Amino acid sequence: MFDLEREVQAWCARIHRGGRDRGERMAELADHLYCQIDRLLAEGHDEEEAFRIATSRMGEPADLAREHAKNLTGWPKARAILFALCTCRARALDDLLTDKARARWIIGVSLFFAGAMLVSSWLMRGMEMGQTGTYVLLAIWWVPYSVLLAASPCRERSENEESSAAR
Amino acid sequence: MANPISKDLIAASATPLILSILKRGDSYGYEIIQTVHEVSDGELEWADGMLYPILHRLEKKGLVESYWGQADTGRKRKYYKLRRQGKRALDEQRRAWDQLSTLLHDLNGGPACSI
Repeated sequence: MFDLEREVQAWCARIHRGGRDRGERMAELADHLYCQIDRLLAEGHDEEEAFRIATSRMGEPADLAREHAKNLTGWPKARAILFALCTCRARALDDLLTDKARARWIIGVSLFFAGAMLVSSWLMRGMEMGQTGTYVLLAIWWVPYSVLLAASPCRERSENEESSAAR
Repeated sequence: MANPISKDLIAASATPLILSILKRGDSYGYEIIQTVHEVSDGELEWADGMLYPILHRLEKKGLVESYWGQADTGRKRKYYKLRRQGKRALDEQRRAWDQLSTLLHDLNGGPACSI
């Protein structure tokens, strides 16, 4: 049987996945849904239908979740970025980063790998097979770097620009 | 029926519209959406859910503040109130929109201007 309260809570939870005041934001969204649902019930719709119409008027859950994620700060934002990275969701990452953050992202990743290479070269100086070791490490680093690059918003953006230029 | 207002224009006008509604008195999300719908005779259609990220951003910028109240139904309800900084921001935005409107009017059949 259709449980309106459970469905409303589940729908709101899809939009607000994190943040310190997640509970309050969910309550605000739920109040909006109930206002709409009450109105639709008064017009003669049943609960399930009213819920479906009310949620469709709210917009696409994925779009709403992205919009709300832009307002996150601190650890919840870092967690959202990390999640987007780990799942190679370039679009989600793009939404979370501003132009400034995007520039910082490129510089940060580049500095991290440059630093890691310098440190390993220093640690392996004078070691037998040191050169081979560096190459192996380079190859190992390349794997996560490629993954990060694949998830990078810059790559997606340049691909979009290329495809639109080709049209 | 008039041409629908483009998404870009709707997005650009969202902040001054919300601030204008809050200038008339404290309000909450659903009521703000209904006011926009009524005042625009249904010409301005917002995706309801998109209002909240904008309200939260306005709150973060210090233009509005929120407090929890109770609806007639007994449900918890979040109300928004315009702050002094928000009133100033609204005045600035209104001036900018007026300038643009005058510019458009002058370029489209209004009195010729000399540059």
